[in-house]
Amino acid sequence: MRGRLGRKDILLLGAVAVCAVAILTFYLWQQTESIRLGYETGILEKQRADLVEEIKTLETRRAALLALDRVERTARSELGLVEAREDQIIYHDFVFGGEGR
Amino acid sequence: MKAFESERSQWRLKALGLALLVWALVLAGRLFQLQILRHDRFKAEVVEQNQNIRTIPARRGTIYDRRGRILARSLPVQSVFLSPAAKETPDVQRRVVSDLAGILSLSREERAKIEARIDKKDRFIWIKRKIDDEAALAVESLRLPGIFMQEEPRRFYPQGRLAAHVLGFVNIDEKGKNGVENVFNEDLAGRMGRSLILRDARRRAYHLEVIERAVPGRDLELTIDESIQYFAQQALAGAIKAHEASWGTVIVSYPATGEILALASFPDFDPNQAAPSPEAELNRAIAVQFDPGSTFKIVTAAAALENGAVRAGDRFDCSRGVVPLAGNFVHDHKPFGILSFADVVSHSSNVGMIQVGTRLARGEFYDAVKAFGFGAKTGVDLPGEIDGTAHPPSQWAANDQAYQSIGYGISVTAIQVLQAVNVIANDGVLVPPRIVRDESRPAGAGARSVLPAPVARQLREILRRVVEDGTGTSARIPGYPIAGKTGTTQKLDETLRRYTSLRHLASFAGFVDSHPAAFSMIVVIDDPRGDDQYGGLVAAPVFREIAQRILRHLRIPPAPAETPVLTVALAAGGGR
Repeated sequence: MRGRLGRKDILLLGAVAVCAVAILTFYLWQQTESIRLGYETGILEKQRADLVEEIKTLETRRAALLALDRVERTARSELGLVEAREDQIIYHDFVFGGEGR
Repeated sequence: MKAFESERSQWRLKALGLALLVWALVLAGRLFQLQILRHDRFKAEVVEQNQNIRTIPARRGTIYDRRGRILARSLPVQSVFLSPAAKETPDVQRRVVSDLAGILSLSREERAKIEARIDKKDRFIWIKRKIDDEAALAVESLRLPGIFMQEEPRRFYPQGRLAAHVLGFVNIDEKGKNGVENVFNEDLAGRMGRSLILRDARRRAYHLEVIERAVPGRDLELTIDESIQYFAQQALAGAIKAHEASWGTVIVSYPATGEILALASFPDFDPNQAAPSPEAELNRAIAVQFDPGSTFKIVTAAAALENGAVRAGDRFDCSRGVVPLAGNFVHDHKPFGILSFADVVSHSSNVGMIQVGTRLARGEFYDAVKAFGFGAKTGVDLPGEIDGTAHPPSQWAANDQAYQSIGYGISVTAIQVLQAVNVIANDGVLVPPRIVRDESRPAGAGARSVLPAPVARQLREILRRVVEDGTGTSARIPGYPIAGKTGTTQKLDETLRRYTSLRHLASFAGFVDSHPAAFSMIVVIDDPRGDDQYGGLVAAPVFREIAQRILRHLRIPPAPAETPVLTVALAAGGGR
């Protein structure tokens, strides 16, 4: 007697096949996605590092622009400012021997 | 006929099947060879092609002043190198170097070195390291064969010369060569890390894995105040120029904590430039010793008071204005007559102070010298500090104690003198100086009492008289209590091996005598030329100039002027 696949068996086999294809597809998608995210993370990491560097560079440039000899030179030669006389100074809200930070 | 054709067709099919079988077997065999037999080798090759292990440079720590302002920071810049990747000939390589010479300002020596390495067929040759952004863009735009760029950190000192002797500098490989850059090199440098980068066939990175994390260098916070440092450097440079002096140094500190607010040494250098000359690099605040002269009378006076050798009311005959010492004569700048002990100090009488000093036993005097920290490093966190010279009494000649009483025959550094002055400002407590703020070492660590507080207070009063009506009046600032001591030392003539009255070292050490002392300062100017060579005329005005600016900066107001108080009886209903 030749065994014949019943409708139920065919459906079962079909379902298994669909599941296998789905799993494979999911696996491939997940791999592709993982690699895509890898690229994206790499790009973002680099962008972040570049921005951190840029901030540090700008901070350093700012420090150079605010260097006291440069500020004093500009104040005296370009703006014509002079040292205040003692009687022109009004002290308020002072801390004796006070300092920042 | 049909059977023959069918047989022939079957034979063809069999032949085709056989051919396919052979082909499949060959393929399977090759696959077996690649996947099984030589799997490890090929896998290694693939991994080799697609991944890089890269070192992650550790960022060198930033150095800040006490208010968080940047004094030194490392930033990435480009370095240019030659690597004949496409087998460029030596002639091509030389032409490339020639094309870059102008953009990169290559000196003749640099070019010669590079060309020598081209002749040796080196595969990697630095053309110029750590170039600026404009030069990097220019090099990139040329697209020269065999020329590549690599990112490297470069140390920037945005304030230029400011605090150069405190900061020091780094070499091309970011290794600290002087100052705190050298002392704290290991902390600042951090530790390099390693990362694994996987790349696809187009060399794009798709996976980055940190194998060993880079440990960034520790940031340093100095006790230096950028503004006070600037005031000190400006005033010192001005005084050196005005007096045509050979060198000078200024140190400003908080006596209570030993924190150094400014340390200036002239000549100075710009740490952004190439390595300075040894002359400019020398930190004269800690690495040059000199006879202190009259500033040392503070120690003699303290020892005499502490040991009961003198009392405040004692009087000294200084009327001759000269003391003979084994064939030599020690003079006052004028005969003073009879002086009280306080006047001996405030008028800086050598004749009087020799009488004071020689009342002490040798051991008493030497103990005081050592207790104030002379003859030993202060331990400040800077390289190159020297001990100075304070010989023990066993090595003294007959008149050495007399000479040492007035600050000759003993060698000190500027920072040692400031440390001694701080003892007086601190009611007798010696606080070692420090230049780096470190949580593990609280402010005032290592402090020890070296002088009874009442003696220190008595000396403070006397030192205020020095500024009010003694030799240090040029340091006076109306409204502020200043205490200090002038010093004018004759320099040793190296040819004659004796002190000369033609060349001097002028100094002034003092403090703003509030409670606690607001700050202390020493000014040393070596070999001033012209008519003014005394400490009171050369160094004291520099003290005043810097102190005035610091007082404003720290917002310390002057004491209200003492004016007569008028009492007015107001009638009822008087206004405000």
